[in-house]
Formats: sequence, C-alpha cells, structure tokens
Amino acid sequence: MFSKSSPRPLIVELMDISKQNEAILKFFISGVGNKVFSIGTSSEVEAYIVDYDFPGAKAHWDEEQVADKPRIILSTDNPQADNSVWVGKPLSSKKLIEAASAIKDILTKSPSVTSSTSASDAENLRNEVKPKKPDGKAVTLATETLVPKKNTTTEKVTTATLVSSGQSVDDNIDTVTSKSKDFIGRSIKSESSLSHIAVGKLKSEQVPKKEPINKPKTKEQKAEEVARREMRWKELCGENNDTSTHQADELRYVPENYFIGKLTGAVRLAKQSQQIVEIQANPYSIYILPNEHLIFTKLGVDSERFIKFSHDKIQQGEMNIHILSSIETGKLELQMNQQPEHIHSLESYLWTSSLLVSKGRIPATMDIDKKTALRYWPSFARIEAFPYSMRIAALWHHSPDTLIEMATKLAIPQRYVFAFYNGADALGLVEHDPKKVKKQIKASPKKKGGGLISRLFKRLLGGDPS
Amino acid sequence: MSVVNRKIIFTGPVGSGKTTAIVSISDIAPVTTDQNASDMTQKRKRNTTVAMDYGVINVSENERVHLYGTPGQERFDFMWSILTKGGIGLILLMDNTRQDPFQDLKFYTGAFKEFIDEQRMVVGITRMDLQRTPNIDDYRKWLDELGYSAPVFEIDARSRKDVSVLIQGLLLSLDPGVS
Repeated sequence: MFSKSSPRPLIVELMDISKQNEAILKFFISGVGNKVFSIGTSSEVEAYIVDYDFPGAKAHWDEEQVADKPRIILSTDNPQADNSVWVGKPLSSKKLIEAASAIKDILTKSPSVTSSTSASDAENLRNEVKPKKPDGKAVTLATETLVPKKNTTTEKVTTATLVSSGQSVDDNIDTVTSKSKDFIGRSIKSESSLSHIAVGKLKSEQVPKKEPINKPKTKEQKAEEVARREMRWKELCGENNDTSTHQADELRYVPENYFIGKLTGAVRLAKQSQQIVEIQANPYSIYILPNEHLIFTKLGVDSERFIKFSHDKIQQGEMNIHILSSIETGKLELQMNQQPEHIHSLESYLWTSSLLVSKGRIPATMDIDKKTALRYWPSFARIEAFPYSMRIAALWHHSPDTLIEMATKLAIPQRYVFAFYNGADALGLVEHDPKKVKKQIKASPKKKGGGLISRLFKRLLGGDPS
Repeated sequence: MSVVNRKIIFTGPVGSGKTTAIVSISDIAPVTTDQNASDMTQKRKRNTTVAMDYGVINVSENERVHLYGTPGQERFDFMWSILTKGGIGLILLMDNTRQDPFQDLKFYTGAFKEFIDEQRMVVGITRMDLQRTPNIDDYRKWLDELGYSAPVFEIDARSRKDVSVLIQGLLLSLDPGVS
C-alpha cells in the first residue's frame, strides 16, 4: 500500500498513440498506475509517453526534434533516442512504473528541466511502488525488469532500456518462412514447399469454417451416424463384458505377435537413434519419422485392409525393420512431397493400430492388480476417441490406479479402460512404476464452476457419450 | 433469476490462434479488438489484438462461460491479472512456427503462474501442419522441466471440435469426475 508520504504522480501526456492503446494506457493510469502517473494539460506536463511503433511517430519525434521534455518511448526496438526512457514491448505495469521512476531521475538531475520532483520522490517510487493487482496483491511477473541506467548526470541523457528477459523483442520478428524446416528437419526457405505437410484436413491458410454445436440432422442421418460410430467403437474396444477372471484367453493378447509389436519396436528404435526407420511389411512400407512425429505409408489406418492386416499374426522374419540411409532418406523426402496424402500423425497411427489389435483385451504380461500411472495425456484432438476416453485420461493422470479400479470409479465397462491402456502404452505414455511419476495430485482448484462445469462439459459433447 | 458467469482465458504468443479459437467456439459473434499491426508484429500477422477478444458459450438460460483472449502482443500485462480474476482455467496456445517455442512456453507459464497454480491449464499447439518440430513430446518434456503438469493437444484453432477438446481437457483437469 502507499504510505502518506508517497510521491506525487508524474504528469504525462500521451502522444502519437493509437486510440486503442491510448484507451488501455488511460485505463492503467486511472487504476493500478494512478499513484505513478497522471494525465495533465500541456502546461503542466513533465514528460510524454510516445508509442514509436505508431506510424510516423519516430520520424516526428526524432527528425523534427519536437521533444522539449523527457519521453517514455514504447516500442519493440530500442530507438536510441536522447532524453528518454525506452520501455520495450511487451509492456508491463512494472516496467511502466520503473520508467516513471527513471524519468523522475532525469527530471531531478537535469538542470535544464524544471521539475518539482525531488530525488527522494524518485527513490520512494522505486522503493514503494509495486504493481498491484486489482485485489491488492503484488503481481507476479515472468519478465525481469532491468533498472534503468542511473548515470544520467548530464543534460544529455542516454536511453535507458527496460527489456523483458522472458521473451526477447526479437521473438516478435521471426517469420514462418525463415524458421521452417522440411520433413526431415532441414531448414528450408520457401513457405510454399511446406504447404503440403498438412496432416489434418485443414491447412493453416484456410478460412475458418464455423459449424453450430448441434447441427440439425435428420433422424436417419442421426441413426446412421450412431450406428457407424458404435461399429467403430466395437472395432477399437471390442465387445467383451466385464469379468473377474482376467487371465481368460479371450481377455489377453500378445502384442509382439502382431504388427503393433513391430510398430512400437520400430518407433522406439527411431526415437533412440533419431533416424528414420522403415518397417518392411511386404507389400507395404511404413516409415517412421521420429522428430516430426509422422508416419509415411500407403497403409492407412482407416482402411478395411488395415484392420485385417493388424489382426493377422505375423510370422518370424515376415517384417523387417531398418534405419534409412541418407540416399534412402532423400528418396523418401521426394516421395512424401509427391504423395502428402500418405502422411499420418505418428500418435494417431500408433493409437489406432494398438486399439484395433487389442480390441479391449490386455497384454498377456500385464499384471491387472498393479497400479500404473498416465504420465501425459494423449493428444486428444488428433487421435480416434471412443466413449469415456477423456474421462479415463483425466482420472488416471490425476492418480495412479489399477485398470479395474478405474473402471469401477468411473462406472464404465472395463473394455474401454483396457483399450485406453493399450493405446497409451503404445504411445509410451504409461509409467509402469508409479513411484517414478511426480505427484500430479495438487490441491483441488477452488471450485468456481460447480455444476456449471458439468453442464458445460455436456454441452461441448453435444450428446457424444465420450 | 440471477445469471451465473464464469471465465476461461485464452493466451499465447501473437498469431497462435487465440482470436480464431474464440471465434470457433463462441455462441455469439465474438467481439474482437484487432487492429492493423503497426509494428514488428505485422511480419507475423496482418491484424493483431490490441485489447482483448471476447466470446461466450451459453450453457443454459442463466449460465454463461465467457471466453477472453489476451492481447497478442502482450503489451499490457496489467490486463492479464484483471482478465484472470474469477477465471476457471487457462488455455495456452502455442504457435509451433515461432522461433523459440520453449521460451514462449516459459514466458507464458511464468506470467500466469499464480493463476495456473490456483486453477488449471491446458496447452494447445497450433500450426503443427506447417512446422512439425518441436513435436508434442518436446512440449510434454518442457512442461515437466518447468514444473507443470497439463494436457497438451495438437490443435487447429479453426476447428470447433479441436477447441472443444481443449476446453473438455481443461474441465476434466479441474474435476476428473465431471460427467
């Protein structure tokens, strides 16, 4: 809080600033910053606040030499202007307050400037003024604000800098084209050569397509959609009923006997070696790009042939794994450029492959009574969801548990939890030793939503039971 | 009958899709305060959000969830504490084409630390279709390093479904028992 001996505010005028920015600064000055700044008339103004990014501002102030008073310059780049304090964008209340203090230093130490501000005022500002939240708490800022240079004893004052260390100004000037890389991580300059990388259906340049949450459908359409979804869920999660005998053959499978075993092994190898790995599964080739989290193959997971392929047991020597040479990598790059439709998200491909083969069963070696943990959530917007999948993730990520316990707590069929386990394990998201997982359980957030959270959740699902 | 109002905050670097995400999910035509970018920001984006974006999800007749997007240029951090007051959670959008996404992540999680600690956060990675690296595993590891545990989803801010998944993730993080 401010003491009774708090210094008076610095009287400023806002110059060369857009209406929006002006409104926000005025909002700041009338609230949090009202002990630090006040907006005055020309005759009483001690300093200007100028936005150098405003069109024409820099030329106006630098070339026309209009500054008769010190300025707080707001801009992304340091303009190296005299008799000023530079506040680098992004702005923060802390930086603005320190700028006021620095200006008061300038006013105090500069003989050419008439100011009623005392040195002790400036010092008081630095010591006493801290940015306040509306509720009175000190604001926690990620940015580290540098104290302005104080060696401004002469009339000519160098520009002090207040720069965020959390994010450099340069961060704002990078461009997509100059930073982009091709499939295999090499820098490329042309943006157009990237445009075909899109894995999803939308590309970033496309115009947003807005659909209502509950788009009206005919009864037939609804029924068809429900039937299609249920069929797919059966393919992914099976149809097993809950049972207490989890050693039964129909509930167990050996991943290594199927394509998924080869796939997870190849992904592991690719990640460890940081090289592109190919699974040769005649007549198909599946390429794994570990850095880009992509798979390139003509064998898409949505096809009927893939379902059959994933269910077929593999024979010894039937599928080979090898790391691509540089020549092969070059050829692959060319192929990917020509056939972007065969590029798949690695996470999505692994997830669906794993679910299709497991069909709600659990791996033969899995100890059903052992607690395991979910280290990270899968990327839900890119994987095939099934009923309750997000709820399983939330509960399991919250605290380690056995699969049966989770199904009981959520009051859902076990096959969905088993299916989720398989998918998450294929993605490497499961920690089999829960002691290794940092404690995820934090104190529950202050419940501000109550039943509203539940209703919003249902609203977003729009009838989807997941 | 009194109206129950809650807030969800969207934040992230310039061009990360905050405005678009709110447009995608809002029940009303969102109020945006974009203006022509007059500074270095224009190299990334023609328009930028100066004050904030605003949208609404009407949950029921007397319940609304307000969606606020922070200014893209992060010019006015004093707006952030005002925006987050009373919020139920944070959606942090990361633009994967930026120069140093780790620094971005560090910056925003640091800036909203108090709010994240009190509530919950979910991270949405945008523009992965243009730039595949860093990948989603990198973000997960970075969050570990920074001491945060939050869902990370690759999303397209123009897709209502993707933005809906983000919000669902946030709600389930707040209350894993929600159904």
